[in-house]
Parts: sequence; C-alpha cells; structure tokens
Amino acid sequence: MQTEVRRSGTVLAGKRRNAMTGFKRQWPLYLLMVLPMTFFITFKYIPMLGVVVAFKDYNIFRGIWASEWVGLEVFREIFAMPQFYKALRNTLMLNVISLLTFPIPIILAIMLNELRINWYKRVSQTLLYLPHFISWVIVGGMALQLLATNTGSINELIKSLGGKPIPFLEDTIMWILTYTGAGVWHYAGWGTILYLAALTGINKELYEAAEVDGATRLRRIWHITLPGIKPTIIVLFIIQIGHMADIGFEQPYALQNGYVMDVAQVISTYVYTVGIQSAQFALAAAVGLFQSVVGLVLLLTAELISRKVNNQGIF
Amino acid sequence: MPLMRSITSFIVVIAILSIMMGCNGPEGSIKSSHAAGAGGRPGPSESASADRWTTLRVELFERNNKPVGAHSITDNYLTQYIQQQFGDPERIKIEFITIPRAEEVGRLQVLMAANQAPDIVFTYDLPTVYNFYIQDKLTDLSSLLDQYGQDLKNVLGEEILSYGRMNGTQFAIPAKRVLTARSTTLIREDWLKEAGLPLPATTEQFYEALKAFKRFRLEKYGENIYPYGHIDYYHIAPLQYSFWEWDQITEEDLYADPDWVMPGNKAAFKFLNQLYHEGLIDPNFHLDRYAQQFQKDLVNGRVGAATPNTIEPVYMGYLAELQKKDPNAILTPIDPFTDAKGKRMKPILENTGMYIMVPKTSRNAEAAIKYLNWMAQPENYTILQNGIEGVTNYFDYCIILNGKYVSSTDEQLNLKANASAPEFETFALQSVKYGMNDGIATPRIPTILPSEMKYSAILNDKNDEIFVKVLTAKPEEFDTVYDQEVAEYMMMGGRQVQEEKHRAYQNHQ
Repeated sequence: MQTEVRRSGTVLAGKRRNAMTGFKRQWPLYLLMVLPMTFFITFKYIPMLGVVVAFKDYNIFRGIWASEWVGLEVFREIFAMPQFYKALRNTLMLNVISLLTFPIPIILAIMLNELRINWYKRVSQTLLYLPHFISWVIVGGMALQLLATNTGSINELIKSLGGKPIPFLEDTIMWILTYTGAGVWHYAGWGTILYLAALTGINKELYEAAEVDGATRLRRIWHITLPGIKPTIIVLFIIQIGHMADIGFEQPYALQNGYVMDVAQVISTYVYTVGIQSAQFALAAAVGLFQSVVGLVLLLTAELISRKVNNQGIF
Repeated sequence: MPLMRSITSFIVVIAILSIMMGCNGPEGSIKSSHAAGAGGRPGPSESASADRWTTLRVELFERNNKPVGAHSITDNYLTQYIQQQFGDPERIKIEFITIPRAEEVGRLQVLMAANQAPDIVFTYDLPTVYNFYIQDKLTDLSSLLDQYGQDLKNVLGEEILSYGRMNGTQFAIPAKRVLTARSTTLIREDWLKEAGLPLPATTEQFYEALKAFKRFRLEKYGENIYPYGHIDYYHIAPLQYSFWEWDQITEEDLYADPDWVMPGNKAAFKFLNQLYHEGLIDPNFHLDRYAQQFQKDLVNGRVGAATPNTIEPVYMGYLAELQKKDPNAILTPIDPFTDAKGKRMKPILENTGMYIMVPKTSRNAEAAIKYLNWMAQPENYTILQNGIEGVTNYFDYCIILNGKYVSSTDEQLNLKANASAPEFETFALQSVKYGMNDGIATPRIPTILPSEMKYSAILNDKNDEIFVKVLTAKPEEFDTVYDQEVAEYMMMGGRQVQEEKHRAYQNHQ
C-alpha cells in the first residue's frame, strides 16, 4: 500500500517537473499565445461586459456607465409583451422544422462520396455549395420573382399549364415550407462540405476489407461511412441544438411579408423593430441575453444526453 | 541548436514588442489631438476674427441614384458654386458628409452619441429631434438667427420657425414644405370613355368604374387585371377619411386617437375588404413594398386607377413612360371619395419638411447660420434647386426648402415650378387642387411624448400588419379580425400613446 502511494506521489512530482522543464524549453510558444489571447479578451470578452445595459435604463448619450441601474425592469417589460411570446414561439417552430432537414447534407455527402467519376463529383459539389455565397437579400428578391402568386415565374408556368397558382408567400403553411426550402437550398451544400471533409478521414482499407468480405454498398455505408462521420454529426447536431432559441436575422427578414407575420415574426426581427429602430438598446440587449441563456441551457442538455447515450460530445 | 532557439525567441520578443508599440501609437496620437482640440477650442467670435479658414461640415443625403458617369455628389457644379459664392468670400471651406438616405436616423444617432456629427445635420424624424433636444445636444440658434439669419427668417416665416422652438430655445430650423398636398387619385380616362362612363365624382361611381375596367379588360383582351393599384396603409387615406364620421371627431380626437378607433374607420376597411374579394385590388398588394410593381403595371396598362403621392407620376417619370408606351393613354386626376355630407376629406402634409440642427459639439454655429441664410437668398436657392441647364439637378443641397420654391406670394407659380415640364402642367395643377380639396392637417402639439418615442416603430409595423389582415380577411370573419387586431394594437402600446396624447392636448389648451 505504502509503496503504491509513494509511487503515485513520485509520478505526480515527476509530471510537475516535466511541466516546468517543458515551460522553460518552450516559453516562446507560450509567449506567442499571449497575442491571440489578448486579441480575444479585448474584442470578445471585454465587449461582453456591455451586456450590463440589459439591467440599465440605457441612454446612448449618457453611455453605459452613467445610465441608471433598473435591475430586472427591462426583462419584466419584455415578458409582459404578448408579441414577444409570439416571436419566441415562431423562432422555436421554424428552428425545429429546420432541424428536420438536418440529415439532408449527410445524405448529399454520402451520395457524393459514392460517386466514382471525379470531375462529376467536383462539379456537383461546387454547384451545391454556391448558393451559400448568395446574400439573403438577393435570395429574398429571387423568391419574390419566382414565387409571387400573380407575377412569379413558377406560378406563371403553373397557370400556363392550366393549374391553380400556389400562394407560396402568402399562405402561412406554404410560407413555412418556402422558408425551410430556402434554408436547405442555402445551407445544405455548405454542410455537405463539412461531412465530405470528415469522410476523407475514413481509412480506405476498411472499405477494401469489407468489399473482400462481400459487403454490399449499402452495408458499407451503414457500417463504415456512418460510424466514421458519427463524431462530426454529433458535434454539428449539438451546435444546432444550441442555436434553437437563436435565429439569423437575414433569412426571416428577407423572406417575411405582411401576409405571414403571424408565423414569420421571429425574435431577431422583433428585436430589430423594438430595440434598434426605436433605439431601445437595453431591450435589445436583454433579449439577446435571454437568447444566449436559453441557447446555453439547450446546448448543455444536448451535450449531457449525447455523453450519456453515445459517450461523445463536444466538450 | 541553443543558439538557434535564442535567436528565435529574440525575434519573437521583438515582434511582440513592436506590435504592442503599434497598438499604443494611434491611441497616443488620438489623445494628443483630443487635448489640443479641447485646449485650443476657439469660440465663435474668435474663429471669425482670426484670419484663417474654418471648415463647415454639412450633412448630405446619399441616395445612390447618381447616373453612371455623373459627377460625385460631393464634388460637382453645385458644390463648387456653393464654395465659390458662399465659402470663399467668408473664408469657410464647405465639406459635405454623406449619409445614406435609408439609414439616416440610425447614423445620425450614432454620430451624435459619438460627438462627431457634422456642423449641420437634419432629419425628418421629429421624435429623434426631440430626443436630441432633451439630451441637451443641440445649439440654441435664437441669437444667431437674429444676428445672421434675416433672409432665412423671411423665407421660412415665424410659424415654421416656431415648430423648431421650445421654451424659447431654437433647437432646430424646420425646412419649409412648398406643396402640402399629400395624395391624389388618378384614373385612366381613355378606359372610362371606352366603357361609356363619366369621370367618377363619388365613391360609388369610382367603384362602378373599377368593376367596369375589370370586366372590360377581361372581355376585350382576356386579361385579368386588378384595376385599383398602389394599395398600402399610407396611400388609401383619402378613401379612408371619406368613411369617417366627421361630426363625431373633435380636433383632439384627430390628434390623439389612432385611425383604427375612429368612428367609421371599420366601414372604410370593410369596403377595401370587399374590393379585395372582388378582385379589384391586387391580391399580392403587400409584396410590392416599394410600389415598383405598381409603376410597371401602370405603364403596361394593367392598372386603371390609383392614389399615389400628389404629382408623383410626374416627378417619378412614370406618367411620361405611360404616354410613351401608349400614346392614347390618358391619366386624369379625380377626387371621388365623398363622405356622408358630400365633403372630400383627406389628410394633407405639414408645412414643414426636415428639421435642421446644429449639434452642441459644433464650433461653427455662426458659419452654419450664415450658410443657411445665404441659401435663403432667391438667386441662390433658385440655382441650388434647378442647377444649370444640362448639369446634374440635385435637390438635396437646398435643405431649407422641400419642393421647388419660386414665390412667397403666388402659389400658382410654385406649382408650375414643380410640374417640371410644360406638358404636365395641367396635370400637376389639377392634382394639387384635388389633393388640397377639403384637406385637413393633423393638429400639432409641441410636446415631447415618451410613449410615442418608445412605441412608434412597433406600432407602425403593426399598422401594416393590421392593414393586410383586415383587407384579406374572409368577409364573414372581417369584424372579428378587425376587433381582435385593433385590441392587440391598443395593448402593445397604442393605448399609452393615445392616453398621453389626450393629456398633452388638454394641457396645451
């Protein structure tokens, strides 16, 4: 017993000694790290202190510190607004629906990975991720040109074929589908690249061995490809869960219109009107803080579940 | 190896030090320039007497509508004219600071908060102006106006100046709006002739004309058109006002109550709802946020009537385009919307335009007033508003006037000037006449309303939302939707604004 303890003690001491000598030998590396750390502290963490405006009667002219403290008054005000709940509900609803499209990039990546003709694969890949670089403002304009009931090209086509025009942008259900579809169009190709990168990391010998053993293509995808990219899938999934209470500004703002505000007014666009356009920055900051807290809770929950079930997570 | 390593570490240390020095550099220089600025701050009289040039920084709207190849908006014939005629003799260098038109309020807020606003700033947004005033961010211009602003006072007049004054402080100089007509209804007279109908003189006749247009175009060309175009909350006001029960509306109500609770307002929207369901207005009306589709449709003969801003078809050029496309087309101003007593009530604009201010941080308030006063001299505003033939005509330099101004006594002359081309003169005259007919301006109470500053953006959005919902509601659900939406409007701030406005009105009496 005693020898055991002593041995572990010496191991610890040895480790510490190693760390010290390591520092002596590599101090320039540590010094180099100081720069990026300073950068992040200055531009990421210090600005976070600005979140105190959520607890103040913030006045842009008086500045952050001179404005008066109001405690939780701003939050009380937000939670008393009926439209806030509507916006929160819509945010969650649109995000949950978007989450259903989560497997699409995975399927696309696997399909691309199975392609054997290289140029075809490369061209398809490029075509798939190009929409990612188109600004949402332009996508919004395109949606109008293509999908408007009277003047949109798609409805013109439907009409000329004798069909009834589809109210893609005015009907609430149709709008949700349009929103989700536009999201897939915009993001799926980009997500595919991440999975393709993960796929290249899978050992080719595994496939060869499976082939020798007579595994069919589907079997190989199921037993080699999917387990191979499982960590990537889990990380991306958890990140997306963390963004549940959070929604980009541009996509909903560019696509929304007066007909569908009941489902299209989300937190970000609501904060834009209430917080920014009315110059109530405290309110905007408070909603932002609320979103972050909800996001953090969801993220940690997803992480915990993933650790329990899969023994894998992102932290 | 050890030598190698020590060299590397040496380089690293040098690199880090130099970067840190680099970080310090600009900060230090900013501090020093700041100190110099605070210490050597010249008072207004000092800067005038000193024999050196002052720089006057003036805000200028950037509308991004400069034709390809045209001169830049900060350096062209007009800016040079300003510099030579006003700047050089006064030893003042004029510098224009551009601000995008669409973001003007936000940008101005930030510039003011950072104490970096130009010497002359302006905005149309009154709550923003009041906010600056409350925060004590604006220079009191009363004495400077007396001293250097005689021409300016003559052009604007006491009433307009009074809108920029509170408790004896002249915190802003409101621009004069030359034409106050807001919107005028237009109709395709050639289509009416084809259908054998007169120019509509009542709401009922207008409705009949719309129905006839729809039927006629369908039978003759197989075209399904939506004859009443340009439908949005702002532009349906003449129709809306004609449904209001004016004998039940006091001046106080007109000032304080939101449109949605005005007696008769519901009937107006019920009528619009009916037009919508009969296919007389475009089912996609709300997707056309900036009325671009409307202009196209009008030019292409797919719109029979509309109520745009008065003379907009002239100054936006789509009347000329329509006549080019279809020489037989006749677009005629009408004034059909009639209330129960036969009056044609409609809102008109205030006689002020934007509010011009000099921030307290400016050291050139005197030069600013001199500049505005120079601009108020007839030979100068004439050139600034009209340019010189063949040279870019850029109306944003003449900030003290909204709309072309020729005469202080003869309204007709001003009208003619704004018609822009002789062939549209009759159209413009008629448009303005109808736009002003039984026009009523919303009363103005010079008070700061915190609730309005707080809720106006969200309530404006709500107006648009209600507008769409009640127009498109199923006829049998119309009443429920209307009541429910209006209740929501009142709950989300509408009630506070209404109550505060009533109090303000009563206090002011």
